[in-house]
Amino acid sequence: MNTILLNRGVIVYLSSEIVLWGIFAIAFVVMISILYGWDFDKYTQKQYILQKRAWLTVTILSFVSIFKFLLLPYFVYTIDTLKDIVPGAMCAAGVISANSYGLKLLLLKILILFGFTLWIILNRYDLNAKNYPLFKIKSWFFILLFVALTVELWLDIKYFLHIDINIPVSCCSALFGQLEGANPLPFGLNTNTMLLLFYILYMLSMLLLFSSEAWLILIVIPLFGVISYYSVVYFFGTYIYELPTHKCPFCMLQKDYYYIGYLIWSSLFGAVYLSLSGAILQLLTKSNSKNLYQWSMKLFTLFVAVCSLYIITYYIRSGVLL
Amino acid sequence: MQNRLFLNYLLISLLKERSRHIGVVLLSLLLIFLLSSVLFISTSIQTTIQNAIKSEPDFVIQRVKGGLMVPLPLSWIDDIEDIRGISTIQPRVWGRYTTASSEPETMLIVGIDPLDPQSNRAFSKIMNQTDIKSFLDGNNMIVGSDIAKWMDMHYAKKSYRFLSLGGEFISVNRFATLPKSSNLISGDMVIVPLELAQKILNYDTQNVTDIILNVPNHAEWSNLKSKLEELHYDIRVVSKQDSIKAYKQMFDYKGGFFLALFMIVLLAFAMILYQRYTQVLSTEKKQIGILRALGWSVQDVLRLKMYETVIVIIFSYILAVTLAYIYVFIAHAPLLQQIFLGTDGYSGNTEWIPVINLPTLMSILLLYAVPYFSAVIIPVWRIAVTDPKEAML
Amino acid sequence: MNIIELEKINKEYYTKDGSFTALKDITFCIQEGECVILRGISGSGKTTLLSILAGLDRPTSGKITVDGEDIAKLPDIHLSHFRGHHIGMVFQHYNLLEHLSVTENIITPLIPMKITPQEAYKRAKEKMEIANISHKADMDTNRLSGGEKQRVAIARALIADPKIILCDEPTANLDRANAKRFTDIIKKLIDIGKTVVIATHDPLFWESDLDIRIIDIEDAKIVADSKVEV
Repeated sequence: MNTILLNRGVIVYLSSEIVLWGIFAIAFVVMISILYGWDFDKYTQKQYILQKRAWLTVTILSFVSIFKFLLLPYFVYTIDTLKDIVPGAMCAAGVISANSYGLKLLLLKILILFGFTLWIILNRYDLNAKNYPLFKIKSWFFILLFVALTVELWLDIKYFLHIDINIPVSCCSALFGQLEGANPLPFGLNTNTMLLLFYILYMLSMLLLFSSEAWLILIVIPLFGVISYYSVVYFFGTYIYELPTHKCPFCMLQKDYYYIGYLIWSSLFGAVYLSLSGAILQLLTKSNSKNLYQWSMKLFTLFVAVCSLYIITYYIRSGVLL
Repeated sequence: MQNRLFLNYLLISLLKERSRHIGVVLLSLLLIFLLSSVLFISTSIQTTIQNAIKSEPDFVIQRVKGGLMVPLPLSWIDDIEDIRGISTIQPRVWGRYTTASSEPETMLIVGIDPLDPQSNRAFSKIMNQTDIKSFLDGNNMIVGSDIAKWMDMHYAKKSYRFLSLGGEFISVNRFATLPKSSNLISGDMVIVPLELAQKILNYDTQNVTDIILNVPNHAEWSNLKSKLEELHYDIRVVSKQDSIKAYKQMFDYKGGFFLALFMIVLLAFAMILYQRYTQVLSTEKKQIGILRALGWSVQDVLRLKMYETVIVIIFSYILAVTLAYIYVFIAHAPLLQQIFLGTDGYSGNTEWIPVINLPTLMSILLLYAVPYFSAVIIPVWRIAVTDPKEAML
Repeated sequence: MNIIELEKINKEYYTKDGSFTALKDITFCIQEGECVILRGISGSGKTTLLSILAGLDRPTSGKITVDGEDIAKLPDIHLSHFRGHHIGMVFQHYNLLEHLSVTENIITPLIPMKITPQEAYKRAKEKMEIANISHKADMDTNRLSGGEKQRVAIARALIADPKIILCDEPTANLDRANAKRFTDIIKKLIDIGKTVVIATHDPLFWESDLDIRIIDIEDAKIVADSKVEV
């Protein structure tokens, strides 16, 4: 038996994932039956029963999403603790790359949380309207979410079953460092142009969110998200670690750095989730998403402020930049 | 708060109808209490052992014959000293000594050279607090807390007479007692000067039990290990990393086994909850129907019932975790610690180092709240969609 | 101005033994400020009609507009919101929440509306005055007499200032003195401009000095519609 499966964190994580999937599967079956019989224009008893059943799917999805949001940091923390068992790993970066499933799993998780955010926002709009205008869209999207959750569970199990504690993995400096001298940054950027782009995109995003330009938000915000990721890993991170060669998105989640990574990544992801959901809602319904945009502006600003503060305080304390 | 009236209503109905929730709360308390006690103890043991291992030397060199450890000659030290990158090398003499009384007591005799820099970081801490000159002046020993207690009971308050494995009596003065903080490791330990240990354990003066060494550059560890292994055919090299991993796996194994069993308990718990909620909520059908008729939507009722559940969960969680904390770290976990450490020996006095961390608390919460919600979500929904015309019946 | 409009309302119940028609092609209008009695023996369909007017039940077909809103197909959130804001309901068995005090009972309809406690208690005080129950404000509900319970129910029905008050057999469980007191309160309500619909077969109402309109229901159909003026 794989000894990884006896780790406390892994057991709690996997069993929670399985239970949540199970309860979501019930909601999925109910959702299929609703979609099959739904006709809002009918006065039949059946239609009213279906409307009641729709509440079950909403309730289950809300419950599952709350715990999914709690489980992502728990997952990251758990694989972080596995670094003692998996040879060579210094932080979660090494453990996540222990096999080919890890990174896919993490990406899928981030996507699923976005899916939940979007669904909840669409659902809120739908319930506040008087004739379920988004019902078909959100139901199909619900089914898509179930498929994603199923794939995620499959990846969960595959990933933990295939961590071999006898094969050494790379540590984060090997995964993210520039050992071969190749430029890891996208679009052929160097650090300076990337930083310039980072702040320009930040201001552009603020402007677009402020003026509710849905289409442009859908284009610019993902770009800003990607640039932010690279900026944190390859630039701001080095100031968090105070070491110019330490480039890792995971180490900053550790106690040594006051768990600051949780704040940085959650503010970034939260802002991206809310702004994209707002834009999609705006395009689908022609309603305004001002409230959502305001929240994402606050979160983006928090994210940029925290990152920038690391540079500023380092400069004030030591008088130089790394 | 956005809606104080709602919270008001929630609290009033929870308080006035608390008898409905008492059964569930009691069951939850028992369950979380058991779970948290076990997790607290195992986290505490794990931390204690990890701290102890961290202060262990990086490498231990042993000699094996027929798969068993045998004494090795001091001359090996000279061979090792030639390898670059080693900061401290030190011979150790240690072994088990069992007293000859009607209730035999086993102690761990550890011989050290107090004048050498200690490669074991725990020992160097002890030696820093010790007056080395008077320690070496005559037969002196520093004893662990369990042994100190045993000796007090056996009229050896000042000194104890060892019957060496060579057959002679050696009287050793009690010099000091080790602090209790690292109880699990040092409770049965007796520290004596190296030569005295050789006498008690009947070693040749040229032989030692093993050799320990530290290598400051961790990147060189694997490299150095293979170099050491090439020195002699009968050498065995144990690295600190190996022991950390072994301990971690052992504890994962024990803890994992417990958790796997606990899952079955949780499943039963979830089934009880499902039934209990179905039963309790069905008696509320009329009441919910009235609320619905008065303008409460399905969403409002869902919110009411979910908040009710959240309050019950958080209340039982906080109370049970606090009780478990008191039970384990203040009352020293009577009954449970016998399961963990066995009933024999002096481990009965073990004090757990209080270790409370967020992941442990989070694990407990997840193990409790996820099945709880999953079990009650359908009964809660069923009551929330009560037809408002129920009020007319 | 019509505050309630019903157009070809049908209601059928489906049971194992087939369907059962509770209402058949009900069409009528009620004007603002009117006092309407739905008269009929039990089983005639008047309670079903009242439920549909109150948004407690849905018709099988037809159109029902209350205060300008078509409520026949409204999704639950909106229908509940409608019930809370536009309809005050007085039930035959009062339907008070036994574990709460009088004031707490009266403010329950306000809870989903997210208003401040100060405002809620202020309103409760006003409505208790109208319903003559102020002296029992802090008493537990289960220690009240039948008449008092009903006055609490009236105060509760008034709490959100609805335009329409619906009563289901309001005097069936009251002695004559209390029933008389009830008609006095109804008079007060009509004076302040409420529209009142009462489902009953108690002759007290058409013998009282109220200006009423009586709609007779028999076998799921309206058989008569007449005004009684004093």
